[in-house]
Amino acid sequence: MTEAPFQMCGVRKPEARWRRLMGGMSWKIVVLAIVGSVAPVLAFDGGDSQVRNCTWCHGAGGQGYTVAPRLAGQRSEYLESQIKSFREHTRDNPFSRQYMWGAVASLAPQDARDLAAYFASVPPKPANDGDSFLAVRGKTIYLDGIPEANVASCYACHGPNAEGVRNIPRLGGLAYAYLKTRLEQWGQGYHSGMGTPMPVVARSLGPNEIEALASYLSFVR
Amino acid sequence: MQADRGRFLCFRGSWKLVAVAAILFSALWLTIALAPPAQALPSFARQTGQPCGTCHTDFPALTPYGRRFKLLGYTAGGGQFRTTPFSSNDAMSVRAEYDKLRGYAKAVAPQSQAEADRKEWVPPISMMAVVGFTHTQADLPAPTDPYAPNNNTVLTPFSIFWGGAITSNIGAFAQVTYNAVPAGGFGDPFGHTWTWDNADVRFAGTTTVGPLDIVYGVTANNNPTVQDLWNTTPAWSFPYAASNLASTPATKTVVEGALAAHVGGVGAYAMINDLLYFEVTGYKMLSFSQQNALGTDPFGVGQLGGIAPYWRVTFEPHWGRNTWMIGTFGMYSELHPWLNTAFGTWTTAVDPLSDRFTDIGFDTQYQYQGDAFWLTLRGSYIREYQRLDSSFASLAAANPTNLVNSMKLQASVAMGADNRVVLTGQYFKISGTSDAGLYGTDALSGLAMTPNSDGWQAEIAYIPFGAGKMIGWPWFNARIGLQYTYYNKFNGSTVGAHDNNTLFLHAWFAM
Repeated sequence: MTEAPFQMCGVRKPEARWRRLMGGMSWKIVVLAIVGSVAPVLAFDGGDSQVRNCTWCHGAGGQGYTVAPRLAGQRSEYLESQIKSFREHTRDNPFSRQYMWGAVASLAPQDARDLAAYFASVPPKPANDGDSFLAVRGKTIYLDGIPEANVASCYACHGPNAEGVRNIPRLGGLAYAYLKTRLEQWGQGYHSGMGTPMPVVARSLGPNEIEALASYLSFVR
Repeated sequence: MQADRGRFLCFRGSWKLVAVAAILFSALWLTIALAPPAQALPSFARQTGQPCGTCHTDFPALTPYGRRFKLLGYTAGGGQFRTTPFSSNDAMSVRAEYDKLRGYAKAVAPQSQAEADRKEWVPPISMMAVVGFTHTQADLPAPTDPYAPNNNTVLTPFSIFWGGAITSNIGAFAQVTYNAVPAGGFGDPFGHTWTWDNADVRFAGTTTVGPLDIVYGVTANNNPTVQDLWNTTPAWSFPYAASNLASTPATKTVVEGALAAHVGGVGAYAMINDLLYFEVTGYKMLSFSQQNALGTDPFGVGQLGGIAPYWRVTFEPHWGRNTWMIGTFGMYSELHPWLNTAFGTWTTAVDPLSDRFTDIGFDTQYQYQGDAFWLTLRGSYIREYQRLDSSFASLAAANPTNLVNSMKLQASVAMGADNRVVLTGQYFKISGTSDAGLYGTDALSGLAMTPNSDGWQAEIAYIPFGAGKMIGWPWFNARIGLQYTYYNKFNGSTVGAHDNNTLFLHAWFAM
């Protein structure tokens, strides 16, 4: 639409203005707007706010979203240990520094434990976003390692279905891009929690092996 | 005045009583919350513990996490401050959610409750100010008082915000703004420097239905598309800061801000599996006096008849560091023109006939997150079908129906974490049916003019604190921008179009 210039003159009396202010159908909109925004909190359980502080970035249901990995179904001990390593700044890759250091700085230990237990209990959905042609090779590496390159079998620690155990993470079904980045970062000098063998285990993996592993794991249920 | 108010309370019907009660309740609510509101806001940073760069590529443009923060009703927390002034049941709720999931009968309050309640609450109030220097290729058309014909430095706008959570499920972004007097003055007694500005109050919740993870919510807002999550729709589209003095194309579609601050709307939305987004909102115009009391010039547009429905659907797959959105939005509005905008007869009557506008928009956005950069490509196209029953009958328009199209194509790169440099380029084009009544006739050819304008905009901006914590964090950030607008065609003519080319150097402070 085209805006037209307007020439105005005269000012209405305050009483008349007040009556007009109070009059008309538009009051109903005011009521609906206020009630509409406030009433739902009285009627619905909108989910827990602490959980939403996590699912804000990690996706509705904690299934992962862009660079934020899936939390659903992850080992609670692992989640708790990673929150600790974010807080202590021992997990130091760029996105951890950018997002997670601040995100957990004010998180009480008991809350961290509860959140870890909660997300561990949410059924995970596999990302299924790897290269299915590479997944065959990835499965071989996962199960058998690469003996000639001194790459250990992933199966030994992460379990036959990549489900993890205790503070060893579930890898099955994580997003391809996340797995690939994490595997690359072990060889780039970034750290995670204290005492993890991954820098030694993963440093012999080449780019092709990493892509194959990440592809395979993204399909594991 | 008091007596009038008393009579109103006695005789003006239940809706009004409910309205007064609702406003009092709302005021009480806000008082309890000690709460005023906020934008690319430091108050959001305080609430979340995250730097500006988590949600903004270059404020106010949003990252995927910024969109989700808005989707969740501005309520996500995690910072060193309490999210709401109310006693927190967060930790208790986490355990309750967990127990519910596990099928346990009863939640046990964890020990951290008292610790959570010990966090300090700071009202989520923010402020922003934009100081801009404007140079146009030719001097501004007279009169320009209180400004010089060219090369003016003006502080406008200045805004105060409430930006953040009110409860764990309700949040608000609401803005009160000072706008400097336009060149030549307001020209009517209903012009205001202080006005309510963008306002978006939301309730948001999450739930799971079978395989579907759903974020749902209710929005109450005052500007179609101000509630939208993407910077492809009009309210939050580039340029984010613009000169208040330079001339801009006269024709826009209705959904491009014509109803902003003139209306109130309530809508419902849902995001399904972080993929599909639906929203329906209905808008109704505030009364003449309400608009005037809120600082909006009621004569800015005609009177909106009935409810104007607005819809929005998007599909946004994400993979790795990529997101890609394709969507549609639109609105139907019936606007009754004022019979006498001169106000000389003290009338605010409108034409019983209306002009009907059907706006249908399509938009897309691709965004990539690099290690220390963001690449964003945006496109939008709005096609407006005008049925001008009123304007045609009153001879204001020469055609009974017209079309107006508005297109924007944009690319933006935000480089760096801190000391972020942002390069943005945009091509814009407005086109439509020629109409001698609406757009006049060409002085040389005598042919009917069109609303056509097109040109380019380029901006380089510097943001000192993108990923790190700002000086005095979480209280301050800034954006310094140099913007140039180049017109190939302006209001239907290439003659003199370049006169409107504008250089706008601005400093945008947020605190």
